[in-house]
Amino acid sequence: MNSPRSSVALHKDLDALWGTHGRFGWLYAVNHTTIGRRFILTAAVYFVIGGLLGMLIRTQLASPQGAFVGAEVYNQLFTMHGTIMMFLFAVPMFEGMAMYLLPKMLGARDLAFPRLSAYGYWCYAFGGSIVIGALLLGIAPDSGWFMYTPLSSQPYTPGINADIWLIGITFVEISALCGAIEIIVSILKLRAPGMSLDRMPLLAWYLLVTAFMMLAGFPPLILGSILLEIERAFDLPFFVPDRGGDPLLWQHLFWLFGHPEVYIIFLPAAGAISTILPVMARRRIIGHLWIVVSIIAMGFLSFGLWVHHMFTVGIPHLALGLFSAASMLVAVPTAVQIFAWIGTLMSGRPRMNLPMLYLIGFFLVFVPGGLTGVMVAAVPFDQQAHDTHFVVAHLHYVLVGGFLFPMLAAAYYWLPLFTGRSASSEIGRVGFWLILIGFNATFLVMHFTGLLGMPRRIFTYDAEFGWAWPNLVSSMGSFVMAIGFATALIDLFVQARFGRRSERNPWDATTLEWAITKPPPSYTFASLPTVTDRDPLADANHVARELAAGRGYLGFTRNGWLETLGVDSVTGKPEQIVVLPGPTLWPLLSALATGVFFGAVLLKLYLVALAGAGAVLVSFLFWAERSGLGREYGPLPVGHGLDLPVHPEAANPPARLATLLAITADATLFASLIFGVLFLVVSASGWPPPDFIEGGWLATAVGLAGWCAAAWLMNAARGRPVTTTPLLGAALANVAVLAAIVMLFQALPPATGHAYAAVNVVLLAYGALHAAIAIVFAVHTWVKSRSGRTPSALSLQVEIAWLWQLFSSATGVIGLAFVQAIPGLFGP
Amino acid sequence: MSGRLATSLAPAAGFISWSIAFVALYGLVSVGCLLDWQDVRWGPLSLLRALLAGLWIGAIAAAALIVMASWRRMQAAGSETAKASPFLRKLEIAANGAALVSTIWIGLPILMARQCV
Repeated sequence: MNSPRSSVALHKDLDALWGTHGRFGWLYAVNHTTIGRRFILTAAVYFVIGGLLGMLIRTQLASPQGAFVGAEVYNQLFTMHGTIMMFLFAVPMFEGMAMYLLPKMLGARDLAFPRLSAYGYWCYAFGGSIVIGALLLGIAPDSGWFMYTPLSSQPYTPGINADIWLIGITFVEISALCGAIEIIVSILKLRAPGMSLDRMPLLAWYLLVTAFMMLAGFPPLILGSILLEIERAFDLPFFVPDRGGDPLLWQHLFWLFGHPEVYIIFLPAAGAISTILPVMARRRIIGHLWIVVSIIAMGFLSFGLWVHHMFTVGIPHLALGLFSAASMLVAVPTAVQIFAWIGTLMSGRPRMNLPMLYLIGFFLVFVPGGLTGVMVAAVPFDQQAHDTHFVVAHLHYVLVGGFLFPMLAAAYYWLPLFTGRSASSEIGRVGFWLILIGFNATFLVMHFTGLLGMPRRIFTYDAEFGWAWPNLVSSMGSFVMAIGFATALIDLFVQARFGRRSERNPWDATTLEWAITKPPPSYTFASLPTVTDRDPLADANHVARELAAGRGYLGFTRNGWLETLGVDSVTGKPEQIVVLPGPTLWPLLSALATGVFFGAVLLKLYLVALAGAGAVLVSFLFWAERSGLGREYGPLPVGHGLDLPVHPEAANPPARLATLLAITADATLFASLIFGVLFLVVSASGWPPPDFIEGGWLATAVGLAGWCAAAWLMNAARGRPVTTTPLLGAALANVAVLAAIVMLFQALPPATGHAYAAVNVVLLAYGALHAAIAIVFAVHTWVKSRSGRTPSALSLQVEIAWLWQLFSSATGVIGLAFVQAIPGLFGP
Repeated sequence: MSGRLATSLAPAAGFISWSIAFVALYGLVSVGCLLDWQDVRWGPLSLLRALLAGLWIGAIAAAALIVMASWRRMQAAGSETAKASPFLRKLEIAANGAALVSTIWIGLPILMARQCV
C-alpha cells in the first residue's frame, strides 16, 4: 500500500493506473468517462443524421405531388429516420449518460464491468455503421421502423434491405443488453459507503428500473428478429399464414419490445428532470417516495400496453378493453411525477436559466403528448386515428417532449462537469426558442393533418384532399426546428471549447458528481466518500477537498490495482473491494469477432459466421483468463480502520449478480419463444399441421435424463473446496443432450413445410446452443481447476457454470416437453 | 442472501402479481374466444365472463394479500426490511398498494365490455 505524500502525488499514482496512455491508448479505453462520452457523441452524430432524414421527409411532403424523392427512397427515409432515432440515438444516448454519470453520482470510481461497457460501445458503433452504411449505398431498410411482416418478408422485400435492419439492430441490441446489466450491477453494488437505497439519487432509481425494463423488453425483439431472419434466409414459415405462421406474431413480439421502449427512453430523461429541477428550484424535490413508487409502477404497467398498437388488427373486444384500461392507467404514475415537479417548482425559488427553459419546454410539449396518448388509448378514437398523421404528431410530442427537451436541459446542466467550462451564451436561448416554436409549428398542426385523414408513410398526396396547407406549415416549422437544433449543438460545442472556466459546483447542486475535479479525472474520486444523507453535498462543501486529499476510503494505491468499493445493495454497508480491469484491447477484439459473425450472417456466409461465433467465445474466455488476482489475499485495509475482502473472496461478487441478470434476459427470450409457440397453436390459421413429429420418445427420454443429470452433477461440483470430477460428468451429460436433440431434429417433418416444424426446430436449437455453452463452461472450469486458479476464483466460476446449467436444464426440459406435447393438443 | 433478496423484491411483489394477472386475463380472453366460451351460459353470465371475473377476483385477493403481508412485515420489529430502512418500509406498502389499485382497475372492462370479435 503506497501512502502518497500529497494529493498531487495521489493524483499521479491513480492516473497512472486508471488513465489510458499511449498513441493507440484510445483503442484500449474501458473507463466509464471515456466510454460514456463516446456513446453520447456517437449518438449525437446519429441524431444529426436522423434529423437530416426527417428534414428530407418534410421536404417531400411540403407540397402535393412532391417530386423531391420517389417512393422507394421515401420508404428508406422514413424507415431510417425512425430506426436511427429509436435504436441509434435515444437508447445509446441515455446509456452514455448513465455510464458517464452513475459512478460519479454514486461515489464509485468506475462501473462494475468496464470491459463490458467498452464491448457494448464497439457493438453499437459497428452495428450502427452497418445500418448507416446501407443508407449511403442506397440499400437501407425500407419496411418501416417496425418492420411489419409480410411487407418485410422475403417475397415482398427480396433485397438485403430488411436483413440489414434485422442484423444491424440485433447487433446494437447486444450493446443495450450489456449496458443494462452494467447499469443494474453498478447501481446495486458499486456505491459509496453509507449510500443506502433511500439515500440513492433519484436518477439511479430511474436508471435501475429502466435497465430492468431493457432486460425484459429487448429479448422479444431479438427473438422476433432471429425468427424473421431465419424465415427470410431459410424459408421457415413463422409469419406465413398459409403454412401455419401468422404475421401478427411479429407484431406481438415487436410491440412487446416497442411499447416499453417508449418508457425506456422516457424514464432516464425523467430521471434527469428529477435531478435538475430541484437544483433549479433551489429546494428538495417534493414526493420522493411517490416518485420512486411511480417509477416502479411505470416499469411494470408499460409492459401491459403493447396491444394498444394493434387495436385495429381484430382481437377480442374484452382484450381491447384490458389494454385500453392499462394504457390509461399508466398515465397516473406519469402524472404523479408531473405534479411532484410542478409542486417543487411552485414551492421553490426557480432560476430561469437555460436548463430550466428546456424543462419548461418539456412541460409544454410532453404534457399535451401524454394527453393525446390518453386519447389514442381509447379504442374508438384510436380506430379512427390509427395510422394517420395524428399518431405521428402524438409520438413526436411524447418522444421529443419526453426525451429531447430533458436531454438538452441535461446537456447544458452537466456541461461544466463534462468539460470544466460553463455555458452562459445567449445563443443557447435562441436555439431553445427556435426548437420550441419550430416543433409546435411542425407537430401541433400535424394533429389536424391526421384528423383530416392523411395516412402515415405516403410519399405524396393530391391537393384535393386539403392537406396542402397544414403540410406546408409543418415543413416550414420543421426547418425552424432544425435550425434551432443546429444552433443548440453549435452553442454546446462552442461553450465546451471556449466557455469560461466553471467553478466546482456551479449550480449549488447536492449530488456527488459535483465533488470531483472538472473535467473528471480518469479515477473519478481520489478517495471514496461516506454518505450520510440523500443530499451528500448539501451541508458539506468541504467534502470535495477531503476526498481530493485522500481522506476518504481507498485514498491510496496498492499492487497496481484499480480498486473501488462494493456495498450491500440495500444498506450501502461496504462489503468488498472490487478490483477492476485496466485498459485492454479485448473488448474491441471481441466486438470485431461479433461483427464478423453478424456480417457473415448478413452476407449468408454461414461457415464464416460460425468461425466468428467461435472467435467471440475464445475472446470471452481470454477475458475470464485475466479476471483473477493470482492468489488469496484475505481482508485488506480500505481506510477508516475497515478491512474488506477482495471481490473474488467476497460472499456476493458482482459477477454473480451479472450472471443472474444475463440469465433473466435469456429467460425472457425463452418465455417469448414459448408465447410465440402458444400464439401460433391457438391463433394461427392452418393448424393442425399435416405432419407431426414421428416418435422420438427415446431421444426425448435421453434428453430429459441428460438435462437432469447435468444439473445434478454441476450442483455436486459446488462448495469449498470445489469438486472438479463432476464437471466432466456434467459435460458428458450435455453431450448426451446434444445427441438427443440431433435425433429429434431428424424425427421432425421438414421445417419449411409448416410453422409447427419451424418452431420445434427453434426450440431444439435453443436447447442445443445452451447445452453447447454449458459444455464449454464445464470443461473450461475443469481445466482451470487443474492450472492454479485460486479456490475463491474457482468457486465463483463453478457457481456461474452451475447457474447456467440450472437455467439450461430447466428451459431444456420445458422445450422437450413442448416438442412432445404439441401433437397431443390436437388429439390422436 | 434469501432475506436480502426478499427485501429487494418486496416493493415489486404487487406489480409482479399484477403482471401475472394481466397476462392470464389476456390469455384467458384469447383462449375463451377461440373456444366460443362466450356462448356457453353459466348462470346469469357467459362461461368466459364468469371465468374472467373469477380470475380477476383471485388476482385482487392475491394483491390484497401482498399488501397485508407487507403491512405485517413492517410491523414485525427487527425484520430485515425494518432494519434496512424506514424508507423501504413505506416504499413496499405504497408500491404494493398501488399495485392493488391497478389490479382492480385493470379488470373493470370484464364488467362492461363485449367479449369477443
